[in-house]
Amino acid sequence: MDLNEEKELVRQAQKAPDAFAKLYDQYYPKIFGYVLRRTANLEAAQDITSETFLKALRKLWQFHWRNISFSPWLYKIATNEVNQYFRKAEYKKSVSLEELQEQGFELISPRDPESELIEAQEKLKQHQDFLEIQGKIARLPAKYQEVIALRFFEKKQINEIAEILGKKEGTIKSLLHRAVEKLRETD
Amino acid sequence: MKHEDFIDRLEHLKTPEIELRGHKQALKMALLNSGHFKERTIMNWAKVLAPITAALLLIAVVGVFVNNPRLLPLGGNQISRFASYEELQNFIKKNAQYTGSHWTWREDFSSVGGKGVFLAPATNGYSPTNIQVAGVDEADIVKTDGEYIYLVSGNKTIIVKAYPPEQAQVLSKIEVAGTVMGIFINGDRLVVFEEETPYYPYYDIWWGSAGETYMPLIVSPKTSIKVYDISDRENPRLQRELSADGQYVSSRMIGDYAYVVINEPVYEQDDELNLPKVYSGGNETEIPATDIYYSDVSDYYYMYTTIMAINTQNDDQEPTYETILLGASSNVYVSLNNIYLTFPVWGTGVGDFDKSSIYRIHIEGDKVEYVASGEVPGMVLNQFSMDEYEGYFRVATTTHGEKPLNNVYVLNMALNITGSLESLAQGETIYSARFMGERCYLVTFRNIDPLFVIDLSNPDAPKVLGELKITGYSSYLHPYDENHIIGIGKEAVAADEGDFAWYQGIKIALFDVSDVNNPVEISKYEIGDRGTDSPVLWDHKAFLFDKERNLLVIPVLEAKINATQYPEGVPSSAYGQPVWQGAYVFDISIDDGLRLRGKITHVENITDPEQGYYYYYSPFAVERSLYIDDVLYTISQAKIKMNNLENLDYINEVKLPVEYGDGSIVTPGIPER
Repeated sequence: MDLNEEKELVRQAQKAPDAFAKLYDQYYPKIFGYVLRRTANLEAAQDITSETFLKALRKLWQFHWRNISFSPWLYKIATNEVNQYFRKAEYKKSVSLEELQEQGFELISPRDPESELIEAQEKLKQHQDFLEIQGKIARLPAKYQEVIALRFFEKKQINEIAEILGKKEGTIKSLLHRAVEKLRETD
Repeated sequence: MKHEDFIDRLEHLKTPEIELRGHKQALKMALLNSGHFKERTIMNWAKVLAPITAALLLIAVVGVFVNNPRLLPLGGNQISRFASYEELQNFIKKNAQYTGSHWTWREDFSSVGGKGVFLAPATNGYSPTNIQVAGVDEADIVKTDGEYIYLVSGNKTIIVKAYPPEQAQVLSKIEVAGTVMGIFINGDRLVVFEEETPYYPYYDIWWGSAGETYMPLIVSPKTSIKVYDISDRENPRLQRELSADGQYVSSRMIGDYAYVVINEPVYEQDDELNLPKVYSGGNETEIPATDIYYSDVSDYYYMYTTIMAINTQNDDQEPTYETILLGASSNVYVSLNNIYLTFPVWGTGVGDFDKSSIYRIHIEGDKVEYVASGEVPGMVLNQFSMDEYEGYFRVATTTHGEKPLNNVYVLNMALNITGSLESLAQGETIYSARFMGERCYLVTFRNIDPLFVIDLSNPDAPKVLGELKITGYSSYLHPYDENHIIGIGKEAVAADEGDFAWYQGIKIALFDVSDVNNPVEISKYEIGDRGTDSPVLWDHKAFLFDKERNLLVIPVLEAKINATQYPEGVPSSAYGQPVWQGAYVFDISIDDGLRLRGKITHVENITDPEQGYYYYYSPFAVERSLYIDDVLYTISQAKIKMNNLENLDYINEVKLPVEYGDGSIVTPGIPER
């Protein structure tokens, strides 16, 4: 999808569900993957991904185009949600997500919920190296977690991370340096 | 472990790539069914799901009712009407390839052509909307008649007493259920185009294979045309309401007639195809298959494109319309006498390149008549890539083959090609085009910007007269006079990383083309660093120019790079942070070029970079500007600001109600996050 096509989709998605559906299809895997790699928790990843897209849908009217992809904006919302998840013992769902769930929205597949989730748990367990280091990353302050995950797991460039986090590139570079140092100390 | 080794370990760590398809699907449906879209649902489910038996209850309103298909071999394509509903059904089943959800692609309604070469001069002491063709008005979110400003904010149309500025105030608000797509002002008449998008999930897969599990959505938007009597600006009265199933594509107003183009996807329900419907004064009219034109183009999926004409002054005159079955996606250009619709026909790229189908619909008052179709190689960028002049239709296209190629074609009114100029600027693509009488100006770009001057005086043999190679590109070209053009785009620098260029800040340039063989850039003005943007780059209506008053105004979001962050030098790919948004006001003349007269902003506090990111979404971002007499009006969602046009001294401002995402209305001030 090129930028112009995406721009048009974003504009339409504010009121046309089919356009929103296209954006969703494009970005769901990226956002879910990112959140899962930050939390290493499938249930939390579902909740946070849901919350992210729900917020994106509600705030879409605020998204103004400026020759950048829609993606940093979504990552920013997801990052805020993940940080909130780490700040609180229990991730607090928004009222709207709870409402959605009351209306029958299930976190797990309506088709074959059990097996899919179990299968996913098994797959996740196979990544022992990742889980080990993820556990350490999760204990770092949020500002370090963000940059490490975006840089090394999501393979984002410095300017993209700056875009997502709303910080200057220089700040990102020094944050990254310090984050890696902190992580290395705990290793 | 050393720092570098640790980084290496992180970089090569195998991370989980896990998908929960069930969650993905369930969340998608939940979001699409959430209140966000539901609020807009106006369609009656029973009505939608009922078999389309209404086809039997037809009222023929317009056009010639044709019982037998009539082949009209006018252009490259065969045009005919369907002989029967069954024939339409068979055609769709045979030719449609698309099985997913229906969605439509809205292009800006393109240029209006005709005799007028230059833009409507600003008369009566105020500036009209920046339109492409004189005499053909284009709907916009802001209009003025020299005393009042009419502006659109979400689902509201607001009428503001604007002149004299000292007495400026909001007079009235009109609220509709859907979204306002644009408005026209014609004397004491206000025309509002509204689109509502109801939808429902559709579980029965029609064209999909048996194993598919997704649920395509059928989006059934409805476009309404509401005409208000505003002789009392404080109490607008709804005079008439017309609507049609489908999505608003674009509109124009010529004289008292408003023309609107509406697209509706074709879908099947219980073995029945939907047919387009038009509603007027409580009457519902289904357009019979035998009134629908088609050509033999096979496409992903099909849309009914309906063109409707409405008399904005005479409420008793019934609307007239014509419906054509077309492929996906469209560009629209309108001259004083014709509407041109173009549709891309995708090729495989190997010996079979992309083409564009062109349809000409003749318009004259309430007459709307589909008369010709044709085809040219390549894709049409936007409305400014098209033009009609002295009985010829001209179009600039880009062919995306192994290497992009650019072309200009001249077609007669039967839409047969009479002359062509092909394979310009290999490897580059068209960034902007402007036709001015017997000339065409074309900007192509990859890492530098050639501005081509093309001679179209002989419709059989268009030829390149000259070209100018400069850095950067123009996304919008505007005639200054017969021999000068204003170009607005971005500066660019060649990338070290490869054969392309990094665009930088905004660049405004003035070109002298009096020596057609050797065009020159006589003045330029650059704004900001990479990341700087202006709506003019994609919406010409944000552009204000008046030659007599030496005036040029554009809204700009300015970004700046802090060089101290790059001790080894600022790379060309670096983005700046937003530091300012507002209107740049220039003096423009041939003798003195471009000179900044001043800047006007609506933003009251520019904050740290953290908030700066969100600053892009500010309702205080200036979107349009206009002048009445010697007052410059700049307009954002939050306010209308009035400044002296000569020295930009502050005069007054009117605050507008700003609606936030959660539906709350906030009195303008510092926006809450």
